[in-house]
Amino acid sequence: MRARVGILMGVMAAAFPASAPAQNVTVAISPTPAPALGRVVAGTATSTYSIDAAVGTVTRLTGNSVRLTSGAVTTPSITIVCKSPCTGGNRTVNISVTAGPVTGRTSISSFGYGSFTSTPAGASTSGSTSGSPLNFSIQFTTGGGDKTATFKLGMTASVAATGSTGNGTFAYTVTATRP
Amino acid sequence: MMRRVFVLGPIGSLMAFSAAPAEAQSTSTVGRVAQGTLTIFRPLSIGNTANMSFGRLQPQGNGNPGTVIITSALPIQRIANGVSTLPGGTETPAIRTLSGEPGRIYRVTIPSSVTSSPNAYLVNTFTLWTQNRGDVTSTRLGQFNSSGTDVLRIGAKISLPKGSKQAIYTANVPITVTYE
Repeated sequence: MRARVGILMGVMAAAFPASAPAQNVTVAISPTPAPALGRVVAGTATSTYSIDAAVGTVTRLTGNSVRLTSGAVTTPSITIVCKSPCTGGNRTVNISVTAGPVTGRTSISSFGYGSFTSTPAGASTSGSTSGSPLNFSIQFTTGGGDKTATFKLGMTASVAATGSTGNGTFAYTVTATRP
Repeated sequence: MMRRVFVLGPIGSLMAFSAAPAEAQSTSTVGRVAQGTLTIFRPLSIGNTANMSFGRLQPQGNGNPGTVIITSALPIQRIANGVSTLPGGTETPAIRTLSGEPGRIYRVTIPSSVTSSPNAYLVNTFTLWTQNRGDVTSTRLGQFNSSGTDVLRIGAKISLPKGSKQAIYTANVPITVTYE
């Protein structure tokens, strides 16, 4: 008696391809890169700049560096989509904004958010409004379909007194979690 | 009679895996990374290498007013009209050493006139010459080299009024340098 093993694994794999897991929450950041502080003359001490979330006003809080580029900046707009079904106990999205990784002489020490809106209207927020990391929750309204929330992100950026000059960046991560 | 045995175990497991509903595999945490940007410049600095000196000047005996120009570019020249230029006065344009962000353009701001020492005679009609760009009198714009340095030379004209005396005439010329 001879056992014949049908080599069908490849055929079966082709007939039933593995599918990518569907995302039930999405995060989009626009524009990128943002914010763009422009030109800054380094100071003799670490300088911190506050960037208002809603209107992008830049204010030097500490230090003696000089920002040559005048005027407000465009702050990043964060869009969160709670995919359907976004109802009942499943309509809360937790947001965490963290700084880093740090490259160069500029880093973020704090975040804040503002200009919160939602579609459908009526979503609420709870938790911190500023900090590092910044942690807060969005609770969407009841009803069916996908739901969207948008907010503007502000931050406080620090420019060290020493380090390389030229073009630099300061990174951050926005994470959305549905429990 | 040959019996054919098909091994279904592995294949059966694969089929069971494929039959699982997609919703059970959904992602509940998503993160996005972004960046802010800026461009950092070195601070500007101005070093004083030499103060402006027209050297020793002797008004001509007829008592008429005269002028002397000290040039900014090399070689140093004194161009006199109605004034005799004498040796021993170490004539030189004002010389400043500048430092800042390599490759960047800077602007020089200079007053329209100053006065001399001694006697507070009018000093004006400034000319500017830089080591990296040459004559920048009209633009007032210089540029740092790849090391972030430049040398600025400032010439001018002094007007000696009627009745002025022989002296070594100098002038202090304040300048401001800013990134363009």
